[in-house]
Amino acid sequence: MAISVKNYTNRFVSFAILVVMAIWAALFYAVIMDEVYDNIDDGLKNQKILIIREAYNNPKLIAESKEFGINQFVIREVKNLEEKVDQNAFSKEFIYMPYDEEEEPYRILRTGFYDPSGKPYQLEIRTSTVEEDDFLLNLAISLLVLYVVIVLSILVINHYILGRAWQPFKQILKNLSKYRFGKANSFVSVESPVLEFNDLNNHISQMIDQNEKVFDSQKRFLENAAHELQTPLAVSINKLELLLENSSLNEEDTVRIVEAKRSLQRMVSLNKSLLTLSRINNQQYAGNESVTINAVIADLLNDYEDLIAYKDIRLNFQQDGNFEVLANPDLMQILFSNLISNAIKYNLPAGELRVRIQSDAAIISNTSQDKALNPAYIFERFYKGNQDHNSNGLGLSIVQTILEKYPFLYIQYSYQDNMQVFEIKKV
Amino acid sequence: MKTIFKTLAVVALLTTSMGANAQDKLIDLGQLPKQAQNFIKTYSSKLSVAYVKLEDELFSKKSYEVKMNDGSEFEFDKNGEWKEIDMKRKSIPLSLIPQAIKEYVEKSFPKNNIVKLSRSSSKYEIELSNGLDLVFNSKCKFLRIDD
Amino acid sequence: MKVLIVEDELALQAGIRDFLIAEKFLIETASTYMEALDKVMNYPYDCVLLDIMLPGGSGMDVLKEMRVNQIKSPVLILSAKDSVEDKVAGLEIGADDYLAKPFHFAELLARLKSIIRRNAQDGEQLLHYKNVSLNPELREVKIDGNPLVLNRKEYDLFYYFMLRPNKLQEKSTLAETVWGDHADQADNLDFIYSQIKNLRKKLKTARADCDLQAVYGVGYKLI
Repeated sequence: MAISVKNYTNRFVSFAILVVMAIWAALFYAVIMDEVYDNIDDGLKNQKILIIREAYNNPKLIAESKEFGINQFVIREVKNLEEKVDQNAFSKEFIYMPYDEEEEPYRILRTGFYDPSGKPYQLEIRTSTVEEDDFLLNLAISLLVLYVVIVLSILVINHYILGRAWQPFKQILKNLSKYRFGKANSFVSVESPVLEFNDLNNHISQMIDQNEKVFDSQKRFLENAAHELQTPLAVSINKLELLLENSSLNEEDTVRIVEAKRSLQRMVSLNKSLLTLSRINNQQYAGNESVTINAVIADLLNDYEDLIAYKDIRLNFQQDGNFEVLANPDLMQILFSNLISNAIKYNLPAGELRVRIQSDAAIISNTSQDKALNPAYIFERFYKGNQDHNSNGLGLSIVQTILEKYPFLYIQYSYQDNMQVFEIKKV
Repeated sequence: MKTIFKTLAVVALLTTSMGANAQDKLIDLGQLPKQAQNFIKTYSSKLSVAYVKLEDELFSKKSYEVKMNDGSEFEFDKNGEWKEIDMKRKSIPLSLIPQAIKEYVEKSFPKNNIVKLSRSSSKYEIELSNGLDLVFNSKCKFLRIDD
Repeated sequence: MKVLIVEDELALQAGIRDFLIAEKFLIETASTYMEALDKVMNYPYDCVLLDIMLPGGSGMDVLKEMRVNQIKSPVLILSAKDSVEDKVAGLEIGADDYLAKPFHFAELLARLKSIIRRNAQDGEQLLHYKNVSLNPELREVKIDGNPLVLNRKEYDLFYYFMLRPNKLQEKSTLAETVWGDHADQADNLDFIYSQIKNLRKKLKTARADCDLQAVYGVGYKLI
């Protein structure tokens, strides 16, 4: 799942900071702890020297210091003569304090010395480290808070700074979504102080310009082709019309001229269909609006009213819902015109035409002289059933080309109850 | 890569072989440098020598260790000059102790004797009878208590 | 009635000219942008048939020039471009109507007459033939002064006959002009025949002196 670029970079930043700060905080804590205990130990060592000096000044001290009293040290006779009695040994111990009724942390120095007569004595000095331990605990908590604050600040600052920095990019994306092919000025350029975004903007503008040029030139080509194709046809048809004005023509000649004219008219119709197809393919039917298919179909049925009455077709028009689509209204008109026209053309005399509209589908069914059609063929260009020489075979092809533009619509053909059924459905 | 491995192997081999050569070995009193022998005669004439050890390590200078039969130890450098005197809780002959050091001890640690004395090119170290170690610079100025 | 035909395709120009002369119009022609501009700026016309694609410029620019300079001659644009945008653009610039090529002369005539009628100051706008009168503005048909009720398509059909009495109206032309896009079906199924049949019955019932005569099976004539 893709996430915003800000959050993406934030992830890495905060992970990196997590690691770096954790390592730093751990090292820092270790160093401080080391220092704190070094201080305590130095204090104990100093005390040792003072005690030894005093022991030499005042030999009674040795006898008076058999228990921990106000003086936090004891001097004991050494039972076994060990080689090195004056080695310093430090340790951390919890000692039960009756006045507090709980165990408290202490730092203890165990060492020894010799009295003036050379007799060895054990010396144990201790000091309470409650304060220091508290200090270390507070330090740890402070470091944690510091870490959290730093990480949060970085995330927040990042969020705002990156937000601002990426603003031009977001604007470019927004403008790009507003761009409509065929409308050259629908992409608004975005200026920004960021080199890469300007590059992006310029490249997009250039690309759009290129596309527009191609589109324009194709459009002009199509229009010119239309003109070049239609003009000779128009001339020929008009000349034939003038010829028909001549009332001295006999029947044979008149019929020939009329047939020639009708052939040319079929060519005109074919040209128009091909041009429509080309224009659709060239994205010349842009501009989507909300189109109510119900209205489109109702208008068409109205137009075809005469033909329907003439063929004695029973029309059943049922609207179960509002079928609305976001599409080009002209294309929708062409789409359904083709379908309904087919439904009438290929219908039986005194046959049936059923048009049903639901909120997500339009279903057109008609009775027909044909049995089930082959969906693989009927959408092919120029396919004509029953050698219908009046149809140019492009109708369903146009329908399909239009549907290709709208991925949320699709067509479904079926043969049910002896009726040809074409459904336009929303995905 | 192959050359590096070869070189390392050679170095390792040499080191171990040289190390094998560096051993402590016992020698006769007569093999001590003259100066050392004189020193012993002067300051411990009443005692007899228990053993004399020659120390010859790979990366340190040759030195001699002499143990007397009352337990005291003397260490001499390769020229026979004394390096360390350890009387094992008995006081060192006062004449051996530099004056400044003696004065300091009397002032700061009265009633204390010096039971061990060692010297090097940069400092003097003494151990007092109470067990504390003191460090002086080469000019016998007090530096610190080594605890 | 004086009409200016602006069209660079000479064969087409000649065809329109011949047809309109037969319909009793006075015709002038222009084949290029400069010619067209020159003529419209200096002479008034009852209608200008204006092609868009001209050598030397666009027919749209001729139209723009006319309107900017307050030349009031009505304009009927003839164009091979059949797109809605072009139609809308033309009408917005000030054209009175837009006819896409290829067109039937019958339709050209109907549009032309409609434009002229709309712009004419003087009175008589009705079409008469025998005892039938047709009022295009009101879309009313009267036989001997009595209104004849026709539905939309019947009226359109009859109107084309009344425009050119005694002239052959070919079936497919009628189908295309009256039923437009659905012409391909209309013509094939003798649909026109049944429409004509209904019309004839109504005319007869209303005691019209005219009738619609079938000609060789290819069309009909108002007689």
